[in-house]
Amino acid sequence: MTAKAMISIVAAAGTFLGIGVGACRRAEPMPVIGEVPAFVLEEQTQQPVDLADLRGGLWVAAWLPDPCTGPCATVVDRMATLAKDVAATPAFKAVKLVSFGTGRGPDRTGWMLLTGTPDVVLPLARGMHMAGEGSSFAVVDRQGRVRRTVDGLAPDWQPQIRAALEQLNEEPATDVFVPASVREPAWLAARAKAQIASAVQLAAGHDFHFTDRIGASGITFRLQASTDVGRFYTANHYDHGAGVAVADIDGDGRLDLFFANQAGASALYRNLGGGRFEDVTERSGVRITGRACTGVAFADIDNDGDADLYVSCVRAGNLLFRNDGHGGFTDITKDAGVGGSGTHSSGAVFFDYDGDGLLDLFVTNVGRYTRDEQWPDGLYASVRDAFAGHLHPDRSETSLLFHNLGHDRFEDVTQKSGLVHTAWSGDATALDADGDGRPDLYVLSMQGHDEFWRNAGGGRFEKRSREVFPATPWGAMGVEVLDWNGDGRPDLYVTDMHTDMSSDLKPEEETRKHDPKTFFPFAFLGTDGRHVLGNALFTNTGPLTFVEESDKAGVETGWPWGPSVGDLNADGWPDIFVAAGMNYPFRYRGNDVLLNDGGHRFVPAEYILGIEPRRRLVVPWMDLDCDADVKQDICQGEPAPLPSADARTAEQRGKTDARHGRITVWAARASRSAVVFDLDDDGDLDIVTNNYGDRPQVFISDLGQRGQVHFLKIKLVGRRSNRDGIGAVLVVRANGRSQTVVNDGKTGYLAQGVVPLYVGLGSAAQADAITVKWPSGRQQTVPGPIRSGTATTIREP
Amino acid sequence: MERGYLVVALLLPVMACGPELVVPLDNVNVRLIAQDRSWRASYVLATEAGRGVEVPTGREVHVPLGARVRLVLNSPDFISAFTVDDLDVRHFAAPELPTQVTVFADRVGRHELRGDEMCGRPHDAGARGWLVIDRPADYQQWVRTHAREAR
Repeated sequence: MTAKAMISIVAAAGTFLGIGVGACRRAEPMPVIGEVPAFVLEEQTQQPVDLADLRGGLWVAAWLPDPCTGPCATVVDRMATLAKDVAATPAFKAVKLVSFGTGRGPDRTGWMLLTGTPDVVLPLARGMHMAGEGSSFAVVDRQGRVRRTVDGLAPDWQPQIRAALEQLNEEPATDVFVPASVREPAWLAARAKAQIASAVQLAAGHDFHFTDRIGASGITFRLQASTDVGRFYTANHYDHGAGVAVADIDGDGRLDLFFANQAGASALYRNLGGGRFEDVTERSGVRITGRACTGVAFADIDNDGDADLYVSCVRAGNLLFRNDGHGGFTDITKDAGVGGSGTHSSGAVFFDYDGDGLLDLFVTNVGRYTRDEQWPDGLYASVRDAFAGHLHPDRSETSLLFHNLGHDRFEDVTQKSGLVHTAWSGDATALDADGDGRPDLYVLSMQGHDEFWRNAGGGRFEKRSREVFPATPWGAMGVEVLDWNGDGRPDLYVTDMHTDMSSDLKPEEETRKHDPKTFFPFAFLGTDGRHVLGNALFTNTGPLTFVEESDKAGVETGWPWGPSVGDLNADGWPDIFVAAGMNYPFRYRGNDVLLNDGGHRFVPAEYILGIEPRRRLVVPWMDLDCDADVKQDICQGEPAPLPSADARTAEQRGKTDARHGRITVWAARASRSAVVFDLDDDGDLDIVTNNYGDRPQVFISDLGQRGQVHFLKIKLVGRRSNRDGIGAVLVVRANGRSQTVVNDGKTGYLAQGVVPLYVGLGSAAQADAITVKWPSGRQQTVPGPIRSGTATTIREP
Repeated sequence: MERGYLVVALLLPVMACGPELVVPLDNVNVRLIAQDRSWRASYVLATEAGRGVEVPTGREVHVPLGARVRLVLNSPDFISAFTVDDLDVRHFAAPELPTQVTVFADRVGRHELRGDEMCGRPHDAGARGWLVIDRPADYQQWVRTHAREAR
């Protein structure tokens, strides 16, 4: 018998002796060593795993450095022993074993092997108070708190762990409040099955898959909800979330990400290649805290060839950062004069309205939905009737138009231009709707009619709203310009979220327009009542002539925030990703993928492509101490939120007794903004989301790994026009067909970016020609053949 | 259908509920208050001496057949919708924004009145109630009872 085996026997004996003795005496409460830091890692199946996946049960963790030798190898052996022990102990049925590290990990089964980047793993090990060299275990309770660390090399390591688990097992379970109909909605499996079954009839290319690789990305950002929404649920505009935008900030050829945040810090991630990122927020000089931010826009304001950054915020002022070309940013807000006046700002749109070659800026202001009190995090508390704000003229705020004067200075020309827009607006987009070469503005209203501002030239805008768009959505959130039917004219897709709030839509009702009978009371609308009761797809049929075709095209979706457009299957037709859903206290709704079926219609494909369903549909939403938060409805025994999938009446569900102690309230996961781009430079389009009260998703497409993908990536360099050619219209001819692509920079809800234009070529191995109509008015044709797979830079002559 | 014009109430001394209350039979004012994800109703009455009196009735309110009923809607907290499908009534209440809607009680019956927080959390049981259109005699009896209880 070896000494090691002898130790094991002694330890095992000690285990049982220990338990016996322990059973005879009352153990002291086990102290809390610390909270497990938030993390996202990846299982060997490439599925992301975060702290919430482990909450609600006890778990034992080991940190395995890479390479795992010496003490680490011993810990691995002992982990295997522990796995057998746990499996053989009925009382430990719910206990999970977890190892995490930066390497692939041991080739073992029996526990959860998590891997991630050093940026994530090392702080996690430190935060869990685990000794260096991977020689210790941590025992974690149901609430994600480290309660004991155990020297993995100690002779009595196993009795120590067992004793800790037994004691923690005796602690009362945290009341985790997850309505079953939110956690596992009955409709979802049936919908997924039906959609997947329908794939055989789907003509649009769908033989590829997305995988959420957030766990391998190194991105630890989390969009932290405001106190009003995250803790004292009041319906207000904070729940509209924040944007995510993309640009190559340092000129290394890789596209980097900026996530706007609300109660937490915004974050800038540098793309390291291979799907990995590093947090460069601090060193880049763009750390923003203490203010709720919403919109984010990358744009080259000074035509120096790098992406500058504008971030819009709520009341605390907006920010403009100038890029030094190497990813270092300087706050030039004050001198530039674009900070605003403490309004409730939202989407920001850079466009060159006067054709002087400098990007001007339009900033939407929502309206006053906060009061003067501030929460400890610095955010202003919301009013309780925020969504009646449009009925109070004194709460409206005028959106802002800034003219770029050059030399990093802007002038507020809102009044001078005639573009005095006071609707409750969260976003906007530029498009040349009348074909006169000047960019007009379509400005959304989330509580009323959208407005169309025609660029009349000479720095003037004129409102032509109802003349051009007689009926618009009432609750518009996101907008994208795309030529969906291939006729060469830019169309408009508008998502309408607020209309979905006018009654409790059943899952099967999501793809239908809203019932006028249950729509908001007429008196509440504050309009003439002529609305599209849901998303709108305005097909451009000629100058200033649009036909609403959302139902015909199949683009009605449930609880949508913002669309992002990209040719996901590279077939030459633009597809749409719609970030969607709502959190507490609503039911789960997933994101949507609408594949363009040859310009005839769009077909839902989120389940076919692996975007949905999320592996876990709920997220811990708020921690409450019901002994202190006695006024909280849930502490007072409020029944579970009533999602429409729950067929029971409120009476049937009943009110529970008042709750006491600490509880965790869970809510449905939901997205807000997204950006579609080739994250890993493999020739296909990936998707990154910004999710409310949650971590992002990093959907990596495997289209490029499944076969030859034909595409172009086109970068524009303006000379007389603005340097990024924002406002240019490209026509790409390939295989006898022309695709029209508008370079408006809009990448999604609350976001603008600087991204090469991705043009799928379908089966064509080359493009025959590219014609560019520059904002300056010049037209340029680049003759073919232009080979697929090439990054093409087109410089304005 | 929403009928948002102001009705000037003509208080007719048809029946004294108690020694001095005036209860109109043709123009009836009802206050609906949405609060804490529930709602409650009260009659707005007056004494013969002209003193205003509010008679709470909980989540059920009766009105006489043939009356023009003015529902005055208030909410100190959230925005709430009020719906009586049978009578084609859909309106809302919001803080700092009192609203009203007029209903013509043209058929006897018991009609569900639903309140629901708009743009927010759905209401539960506390948001449902009844708007009952009675024959005048039944209405008088009902008001008499509630006025007595209110005292």
